[in-house]
Amino acid sequence: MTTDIEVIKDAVRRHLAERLVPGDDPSTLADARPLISGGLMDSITTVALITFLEERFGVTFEAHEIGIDYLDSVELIAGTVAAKLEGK
Amino acid sequence: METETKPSLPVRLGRFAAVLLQLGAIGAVAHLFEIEESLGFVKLVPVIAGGFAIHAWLPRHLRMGFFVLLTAGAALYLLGPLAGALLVAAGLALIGLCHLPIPFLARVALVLAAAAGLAALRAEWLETPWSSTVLPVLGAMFMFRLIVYLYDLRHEKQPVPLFTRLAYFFMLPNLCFPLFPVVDFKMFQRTYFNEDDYAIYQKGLRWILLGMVHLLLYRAVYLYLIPAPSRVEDLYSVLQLVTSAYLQYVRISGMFHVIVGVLGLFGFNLPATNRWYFLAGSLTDMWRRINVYWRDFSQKIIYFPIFMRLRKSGQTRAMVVATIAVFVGSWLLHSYQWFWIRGEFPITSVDMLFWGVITCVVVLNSLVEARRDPDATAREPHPLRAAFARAARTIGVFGLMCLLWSLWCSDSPRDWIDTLAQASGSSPNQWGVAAAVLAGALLAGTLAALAASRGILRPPRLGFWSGAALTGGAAVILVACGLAARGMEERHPAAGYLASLMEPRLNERDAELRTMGYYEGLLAGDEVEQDRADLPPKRVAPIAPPPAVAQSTEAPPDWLAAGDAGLMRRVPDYRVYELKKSRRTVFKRADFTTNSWGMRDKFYPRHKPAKTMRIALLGASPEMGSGVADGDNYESMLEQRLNDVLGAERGLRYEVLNFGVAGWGVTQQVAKCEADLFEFEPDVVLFAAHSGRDVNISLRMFRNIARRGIALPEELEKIVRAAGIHAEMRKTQVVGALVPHFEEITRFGYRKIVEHCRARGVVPVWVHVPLPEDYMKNERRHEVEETAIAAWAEEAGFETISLAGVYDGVDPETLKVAPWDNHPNAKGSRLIAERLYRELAKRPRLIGGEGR
Repeated sequence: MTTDIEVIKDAVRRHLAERLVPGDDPSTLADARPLISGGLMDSITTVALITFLEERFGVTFEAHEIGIDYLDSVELIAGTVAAKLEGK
Repeated sequence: METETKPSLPVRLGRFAAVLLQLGAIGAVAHLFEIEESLGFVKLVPVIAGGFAIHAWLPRHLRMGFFVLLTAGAALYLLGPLAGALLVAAGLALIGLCHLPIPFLARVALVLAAAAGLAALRAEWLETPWSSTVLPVLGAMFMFRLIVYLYDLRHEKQPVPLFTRLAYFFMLPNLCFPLFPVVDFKMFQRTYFNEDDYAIYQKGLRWILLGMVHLLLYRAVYLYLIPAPSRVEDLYSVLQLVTSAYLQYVRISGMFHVIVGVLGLFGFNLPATNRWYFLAGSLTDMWRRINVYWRDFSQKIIYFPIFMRLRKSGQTRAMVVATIAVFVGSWLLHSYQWFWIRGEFPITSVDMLFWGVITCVVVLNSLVEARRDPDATAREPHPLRAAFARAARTIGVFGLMCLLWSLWCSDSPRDWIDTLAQASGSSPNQWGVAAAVLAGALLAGTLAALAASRGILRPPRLGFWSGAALTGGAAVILVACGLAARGMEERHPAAGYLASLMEPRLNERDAELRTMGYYEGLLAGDEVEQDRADLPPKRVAPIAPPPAVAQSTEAPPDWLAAGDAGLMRRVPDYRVYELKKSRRTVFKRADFTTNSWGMRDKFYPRHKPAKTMRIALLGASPEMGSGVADGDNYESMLEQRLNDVLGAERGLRYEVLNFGVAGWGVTQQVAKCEADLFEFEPDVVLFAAHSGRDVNISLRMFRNIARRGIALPEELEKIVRAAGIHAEMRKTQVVGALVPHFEEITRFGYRKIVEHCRARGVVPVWVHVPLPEDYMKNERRHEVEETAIAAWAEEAGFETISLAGVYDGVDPETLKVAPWDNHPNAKGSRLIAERLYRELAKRPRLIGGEGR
């Protein structure tokens, strides 16, 4: 199963924009903007993101994948989800 | 990440010179203001600058290795060759255990076994000469990072270069900062030169300077905001105490800024460790802003593993359990951190209460935030209402944190409640002013929040050169102000305040507590006589303090108070306690012997031999010789000097009998006179006073007197009754209630001593003996007290002698028994003895000469 990476990015951007920069245009969340190391995401928003990704794309996350290697930017998140979808 | 286009050589040379110049200016600030000098930071600055100068020109692939070697070399330089080598070897062994070719769980078991062995050394169950020097630094490097490292190692997919692994543990600033942000291993790798080199260096410099400013602010808070315990008596002082408790966090924040800034100079572009934490709008928000690395660590190691495991049974339940686990873990890991740095694992009721309250509030806050409807968040309220709400929340959280932090800093929940209760009797005027200040803060906060929402307060983005000009300029201004303040401190109060920040010294609170300690009112509590006298001494570990501790004003664990060292025994009268008889022991690392009469002195017969002139010295710990070996206190030296010079000349033998007992105040000296002092047939009673700070010492003893129901002379009993002293009061309450009666009590004591002397034809002499460092030298109030007390002595009938200026021209640090202990050492005692001898020689009638 594959999903276009831009579709994933768009969905992630919309989800995060609602929670991190409410009221702002989702496009203000640049692909490379650091989300965890930049202090934007905390445990609550991360948990909400994981739940969203699992429900929206049917993938599952392990505890060790919740960190900057996989989730620190829209780009990384989309890449992680795409890799999981390809591995399905 | 290699940058695509490298700037030309002249550009790089220019930027390099700018960084070095800023480093020079920052080094001057560190040197001038003695920034964390006790931890060794000032000594590390040249290593950082030199290391940077080489590192910046090395090819990228050699830089990580160089950083590791620089840290290892600095370890040898700062800790000494043996301790430095042991640190490096032990660190390599721990990392090596993580990579043994055996199953992962077996490696974890081996690391745990090694940690248990090191913990046994740290707890001094096993003793080695080097453990107290090496283990705090080793602990600081490995206690948390090894946990993160093992966690990441288990899930590692990409190979990590050896020097990156080593650099993660051997971080240069760790050598002088034991409290260190818990850097994440992945963050450490990902941020390494992930931007332009000079942009990272410049950010590092800015953070170092910002950290130093934090540390200077901390010094100001420490010196001028924290009230002495005996002064906490109304709403103002309670607010001062509570606020200053939380503001002290700027020291941690300052150190973390410096640490991360130094790492930036070597390419580690780590994120901020603290972000405007005083402006948090909720406790959850606070958790996001304060010590951010700790939050990331606890999320990674505790929160997410627990949450992911439990979430199938319900997200809310998983979130609550994981949050509770994080805070219980934080509490225990703080004690674990304390253990590696200080060698003790404190489990206290205030810790439990502090973390318990934080946990409850954060859990509630998380539940509210998790259920918040994003659409509702997106609906914009009126800007003014939003700004007001933001200001109110910020002030509320700040107030709550002040309260919680003051609880965390207190001795017990009871002590904390009693302290807060001091505000209850304040005047309506004080409450009114406090309410007005709160309203003003709310108004200012609202305006600031409004300005922030319109982007007015957003800091500008700085390029390399503008950043360099700002950082370098600020450093130069700090140096210039510091130098100017030193020259003008006598003339301008503002310069005096700035100059006072230029070297670490004790504040009023610690001076008061230390003074209690010096006199063996004893930091362990005035319960010494109540609970500890007659008990066997605590185990004393014969260890040398680690350099960081030896240089600081913190006493090492074996530096016991006299009561804890088992030197005292209770007595049933209002001396309360006295020195045990015929003791031979080690006290504060010096031989300590008492004779069969319980004097810290050689043996003297009870009755004065013929042709002998006897001086009875009444005093406290400086007279007893706290921290100096037998014979090295000024009493022994004075006796020697009198006999050497005047003995043969006058055909007399001089005996100075040492009745000094640590912790005794004037009333106990009176009790000693009534007990047995005159049985030794002295010709002169020499009463040693030290300063107005005696007030706390002599007054706090009344708590023990009340608790033990000891009878007092009628006159004293009346004063105690008038002050409302009872057995259940805290020591600070006792002191607070008796301070207004200090003059009465002191005058009573002086009068009684003089009466006892005159009744027996003994000459009463009062001598003021300064201590090496006058912590209160800037306090005008203190000078007044000192002059007044001398006048009271004279009015009572004492002949008075002042030894003011006895240490003139000598560095006080060379006269103290230890950096953390203000008793005169052998050198200081010699100065006192010589000066006292000269003063006595000027008064022949006191020493058996003419006119007597």
